[in-house]
Amino acid sequence: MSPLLRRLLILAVGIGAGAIAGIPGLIGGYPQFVMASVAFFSIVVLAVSMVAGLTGIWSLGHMAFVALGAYLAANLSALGVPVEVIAVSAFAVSAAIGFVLGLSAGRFSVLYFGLLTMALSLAASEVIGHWSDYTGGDEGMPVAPARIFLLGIGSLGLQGAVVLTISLATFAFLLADIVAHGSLGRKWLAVKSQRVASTAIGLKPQLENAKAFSLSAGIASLAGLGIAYSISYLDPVGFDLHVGVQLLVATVVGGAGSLLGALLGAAFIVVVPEMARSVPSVSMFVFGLSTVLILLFLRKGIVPTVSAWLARLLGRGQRNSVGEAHAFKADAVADLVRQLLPAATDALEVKDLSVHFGGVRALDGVGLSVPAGKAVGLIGPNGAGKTTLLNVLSGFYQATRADAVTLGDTDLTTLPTHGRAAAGFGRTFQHAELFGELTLRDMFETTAELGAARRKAGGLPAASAAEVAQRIIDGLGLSAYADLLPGELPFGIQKVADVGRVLATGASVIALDEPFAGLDAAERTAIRTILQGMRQAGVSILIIDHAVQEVMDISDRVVAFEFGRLLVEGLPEEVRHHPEVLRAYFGTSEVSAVKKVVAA
Amino acid sequence: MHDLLPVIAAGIVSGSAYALLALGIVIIFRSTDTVNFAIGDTATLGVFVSVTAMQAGAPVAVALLIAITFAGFFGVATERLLVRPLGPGHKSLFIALVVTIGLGLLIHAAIGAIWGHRPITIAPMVPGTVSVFGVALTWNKVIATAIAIVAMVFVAWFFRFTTVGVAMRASAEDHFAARVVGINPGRIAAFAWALGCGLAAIAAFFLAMETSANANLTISALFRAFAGVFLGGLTSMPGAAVGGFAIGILDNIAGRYLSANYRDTIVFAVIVAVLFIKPAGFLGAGRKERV
Amino acid sequence: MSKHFMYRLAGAAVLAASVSIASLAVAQDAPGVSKDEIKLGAWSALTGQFAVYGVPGVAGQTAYYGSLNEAGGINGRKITVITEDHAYNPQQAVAAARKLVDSDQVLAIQGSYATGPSAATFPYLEEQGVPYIMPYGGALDWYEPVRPLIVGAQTLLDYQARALGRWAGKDGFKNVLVVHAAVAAFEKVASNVEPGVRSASQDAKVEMMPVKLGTTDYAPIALEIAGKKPDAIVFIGTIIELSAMAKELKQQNVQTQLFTYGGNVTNDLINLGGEAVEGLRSVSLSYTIDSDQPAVQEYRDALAKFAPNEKPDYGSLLTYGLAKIAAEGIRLADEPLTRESLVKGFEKLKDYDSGILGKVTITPENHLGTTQVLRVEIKDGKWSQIGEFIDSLGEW
Repeated sequence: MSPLLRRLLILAVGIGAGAIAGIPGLIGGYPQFVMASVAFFSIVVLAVSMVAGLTGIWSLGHMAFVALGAYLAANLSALGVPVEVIAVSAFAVSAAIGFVLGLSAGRFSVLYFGLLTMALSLAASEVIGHWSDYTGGDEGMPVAPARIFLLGIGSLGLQGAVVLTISLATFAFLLADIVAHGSLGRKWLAVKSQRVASTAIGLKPQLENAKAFSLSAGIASLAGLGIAYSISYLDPVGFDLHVGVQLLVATVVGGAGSLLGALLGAAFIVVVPEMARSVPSVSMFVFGLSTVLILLFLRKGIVPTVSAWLARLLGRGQRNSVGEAHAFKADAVADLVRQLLPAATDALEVKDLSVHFGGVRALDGVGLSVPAGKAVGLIGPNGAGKTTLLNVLSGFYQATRADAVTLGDTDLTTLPTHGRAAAGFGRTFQHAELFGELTLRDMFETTAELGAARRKAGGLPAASAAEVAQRIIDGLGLSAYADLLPGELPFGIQKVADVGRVLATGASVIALDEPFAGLDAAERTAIRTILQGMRQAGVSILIIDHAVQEVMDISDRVVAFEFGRLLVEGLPEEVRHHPEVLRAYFGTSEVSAVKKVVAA
Repeated sequence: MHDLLPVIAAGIVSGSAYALLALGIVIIFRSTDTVNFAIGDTATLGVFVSVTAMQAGAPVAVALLIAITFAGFFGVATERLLVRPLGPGHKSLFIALVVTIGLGLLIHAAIGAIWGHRPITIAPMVPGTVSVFGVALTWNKVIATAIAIVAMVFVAWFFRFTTVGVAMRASAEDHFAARVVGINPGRIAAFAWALGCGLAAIAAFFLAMETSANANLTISALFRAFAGVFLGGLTSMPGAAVGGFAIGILDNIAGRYLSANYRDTIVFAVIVAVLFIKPAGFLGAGRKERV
Repeated sequence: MSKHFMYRLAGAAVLAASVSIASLAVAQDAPGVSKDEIKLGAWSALTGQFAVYGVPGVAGQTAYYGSLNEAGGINGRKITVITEDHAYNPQQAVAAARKLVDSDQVLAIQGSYATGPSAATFPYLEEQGVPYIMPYGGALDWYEPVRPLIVGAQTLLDYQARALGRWAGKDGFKNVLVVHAAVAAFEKVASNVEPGVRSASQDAKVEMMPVKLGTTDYAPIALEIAGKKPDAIVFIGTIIELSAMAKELKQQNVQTQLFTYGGNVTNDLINLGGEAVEGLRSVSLSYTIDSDQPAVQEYRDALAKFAPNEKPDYGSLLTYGLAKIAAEGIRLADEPLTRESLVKGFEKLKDYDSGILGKVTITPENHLGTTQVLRVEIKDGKWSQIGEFIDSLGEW
C-alpha cells in the first residue's frame, strides 16, 4: 500500500468513525462511549507499540504520560484554556520527560528497562495520590467540558468529546505513520537492528532512542485528553500499573509496531470485557483465556501473523531467485564513487598502538599509515589483531595506549564512533551487519541523509538522499534487491550492499573488514571492481583480509601483523616473499608456502 | 533508634517471603528466559487447594506439602503447555511474559469463582509468640522464616552438588552447550518451573497463615520480590535471596524511621538508584547481548 | 468489499433510525417504567480486589427486591435490577452507566457500589437526567451542596469518624492516635476524629499517623505506636490492615482501646482479627445481623431464600436496608412515574424507619437521609449493640 493511500485510509476511518459517533441520534451513548474508549486506548497502545516496534524498547509506564495529559487537561480546562493549547502543552511536557527517560534506555537490557518503566508507573500513582490539590487524590476530580478555540465552541458536550477523542486518535495514527515510515523511523529501525553498526554510519543510538521514546510519550499524553473529556471525571485507578499491563497485552496481541495492530489491540482490551457483560463475572476468564490463546496460535500478534498468512496465500512470499553476475566496470564504479565520496586529503596514521584485554595483548605497539588516496592492505594469521585494530579505528574498542590515531589533524581517539563517521572515516563489516528491518533502499537513504554534510563539505554535486540511494542501487547492480530485507538476500549481495552503505556515508577513508570472506568467484570479482573504482576515485582504503592475493592486487602497500605485533611492512611484492610472512603463515617450508600464497 | 534490632528482625521475617518468591522468579528466568508473572497467582492457587484439603481434615504440614506439590505441577504444566510452544529466544521474551500475565488473570478469576472473594482464615501452625531482640514475633513467622531458610539452603545444595542442579546451571549459561553434552533441556525447564513455583507456594502458604487466604494474597509480596530481584540481579540466585531479605529490612526500616506512608516510594527509589549505578543488579551478570 | 460494506452500513443506519423511532413511540412512559415493571440499574465491583465488598452488596439488594416482588412489587409493578460489573475501574463504570441508561433504558440507578467509580459516571447521569438513588458508598460533596439527582441514606464516613471521636472523648481517653490510610479519602475522614474528641473533651491529645494504603507488614508501625503509648487508637482503613495492626499490637503487648469506623463492621474482621480485635468499638449503620428486630429477621430469611450463597453480614444488611428505603421512595412517587417524580417521591420521606438503618428524612434542601449510627463493640467474638441509634453530628 502506498503511503498516501494508507494515510488517506487512516483519515477516512477517522472521519467515518467521527461521523458515526458525532451525528446526533445515529447511535446511542453506550456505543459512542465504547468507540471513545477504543479511540483513547488505541492512542496509547499505538504509542507503546510504535516504540516497541521501531526501537525494541518496551514500556510498562506509559500510563504515567496518559495521566499527565489527563490531569493537565482537567486543571487547565477548569481555567478555561482551550483544548489546542492543552494538547500542545501535554505533548511537550510528556515528550520532554520521555526524552530524558529514553536517553537512559540504552544502558539497560530490554527487560530491565521494561521493569524500570514499571517503577515510573508506580511513581506516577504515588504522585497522583499525594498531590491531591491538583489531582483530587484517590477521590478523583471532575473535568470541565472542553473548549475548542478553532471552532469557537464554548464547551463541548459528552458526544462532542467522543468526536474529539476520535480526532485525537486519527491525528496520532497519522503522526505515527508519517514518522514510522519516514527518515526518523528508518533511523530507529537501523539502531534497533544493528546498534553497533549504526554508530559506524554516524547515528547516535542513545539520541535516537530518546527521540523515539519522547515522541511516544507525547502521543500517549493525547490519550489522557481523550480520557479526561470523554469521561469528564478522573479517578487514579484508571491510570495504575494494572492498566499499563493491559496496554502491554494489547500491544502484543495486536502485534508490536503495527498501526492496525494497535487499533485491534485497543479494541481487544475494551470490547472483550464489554461483550462479556451479558454473562456475569466471566469477563476476566474471557480476557485471560483469549490473551493466552491468541498468543499461542498467532505468535507475533494478530496483524503480523495474519498479514504473513495473506502474503503467503497471495504468493508474495515467493521471491524470484536472483544470481546474476554483477556486470559492472571499474570505470563506471569510479564515476559513482567520485559523485558520492570526496577524495581523501588526509593521511590515516596509527603510531605505537597497544590494546590489552586483561592480560591478553591483542595489539602491542603497532603502527601503520594510509596516505591520502592510497590503498593499504593489512594481512596476518588469525589472532594477529587485525580486527582489533579496525575496531580501535572505529571507536568500538579503547586503545590501552597510543602515540597517535589520527586522520590528518584530527585525533580520532577523542571522537565517539559517530563522530568518526562525521570526520570521514567509514568502514564495512566482515558479516555485513546490514540493518535487518530496513530494505536496501531505505538503508542507503538513511545513510545518505547522514552523509549529506560530508558530500557538501567535499564540494560534491548536491543530491537528495533518494537520488544517492538510487545511484548506489544502479551503480552496484542492486536494483533487483533494492526493496528486499537483508535476511532475504544471499550473503554476497549483503556484502556488496555493505560496501554500498559506506558509499552513502560520504567517507574519504574506508576500512574494509574481510570484504572477500565467504564469497564465490563472481562475487569476489564484483567486490574487486568496486575497490578498484574507489581507488581510481582517490579514496583512501585500508583493507583487511585473509585472501592475501586479493589484498596484494589492490594495495599500494601491505602491512603484516602476527600476535599483535608488526611483522613487516612494504610493497606488496616485498611482503609476499618476505621470509617472516611465509613463516608466519605456513611454517618453514618455503616452497610450498609460496605456492599456497599464490594459490590464495 | 533503640528498636533498630527488633525492626531488622521483623524485616528478616517479612523478607523471607520476598526472598522465596524472588528465588522462584530467578530460577524460572534462568532456565527459560521467561519472567513468570503468574508465579504469585500459581502459588495462591496452591494455597487455596491446600485450604480445601485442610477443611477436609488434612493436617497443616500435609497441607503445606499439597500446596507446594500442586504449585510445582502447575508450573510444569504452564511451561510445557503455554511457554514452550512459543519457541525459544529473545523474540518471544515479551510474548511469554504476556502469556503469563493472561494466565495470572485466569487463575485470579478462577479462585474468585471457586472459593469466592471472602478471605479465608487459616489456623497458625503453632500458636503463640516468641521474643526476638525485644520484638514479639509469632511462632508462625519464626517457623516460616526457618522453613524459608531451609528451602534456600536446599536450593543452594541442589544446584551445587546434584547432577541435575549442576546441569541446570550449565544450561542456564548456554542452552546449546547443555544440549551438546547430553542434558535434556525439556527436563531441566520442567524442574526449574516446579522448583520456582514450589518455593513461591511456601511463601504464599505462610503469608496466608499470617493474614488469610485471599485471591490478592501475593500482590504486595510479589511487588517487593520483584524489587528484590532488581536489587540482586535477574540472573543470580544468591542475589535474589539476599535482595528479598534486603527489601524486607529496608521496607521495615523505612516504615519505622522515615515514613509509614512513603515506604513503598522509598523502597522503589532505592531500587531505581541501584539500577542506575549497577544496571545488572549487585550480583547479576550482565547478560550477553550480541554486538 | 466497498459496495457490500456500504449496503451493510446503510442497513445499520436504517436499523438505528427505526430503533430510535420505536423508542420515541414508547417515550410516553418514562424510560424503564411499564404497567407491570420498573427497571433499575446498578453497578458494583463483582470481580477484582473490591469484589469482597461488591458481591455481598448486590446480594442484599437481590434479597430485598426478591421478597418485594414475591409480595407483589410496588403498586403492581415488579422491580427488575440490572447489575453491571465495573471491577472498581472508573472507565468500566462509565461504560456500565451508558449501557444501562442508553441500551437498557433504566428509570434510575440504585444501590450502586463504590465512591470513585460512581463519581466518574455523574457527568453523564447529569446530562441524561438519571436519578442516582440510595448509593452504597458516597462522599460529602455528593450531598453538599445538594445535587438534584442524588438521594442517599448512608451516614457518611466523615460523620462516623466524628462520632467515634466524640465517643473516645466522652469515655475519657486523653491520648488518641488516629491511624489512617494515607490517601485523600481516608485522610479526610480521619480529620473528623479530632473535632469529635474536642466536642466532648477539651484537653485530650489527638495525633494523626498516616500509613501507606495496602500495608500488610505492620511490625514497624506497631513498634512506633508502642513508643507513642496512646490510650485509644482510631483506625481509618481497610479490615485486612486493621486486623494486621490489631494482631501486631497484641503481639507487642500494646494495651489500648481500638476504635474503627462503620465500614469495618463486618464478620470478616472478627474472622481475620480473632482475639486481637476483641473489645474493638465501632459505629454501625444498621442493627447487628443477629438482632431480634423483625426487619432484620426478614432480612435473614430473604437472604437465605434469594441469595443463599451469602451468609448474613453487614454489607448485605446495609444494602438490603437501602433497597427497602429505595422501594419506599418509589412508592411515594406520584404517577405517572418519571425520573422527576421519582426524586420528588424521595423528598416525601419523613422519619421513615426501615427497622434496619437509622430514621430517614429527605427534603429538597437535604438529600442525605440520615446521619444516625449505632454504637457497637466486639464481645465474645460477636458484634453487640450498645444503646440505641444516635445522631453522629449531635451532642449525645
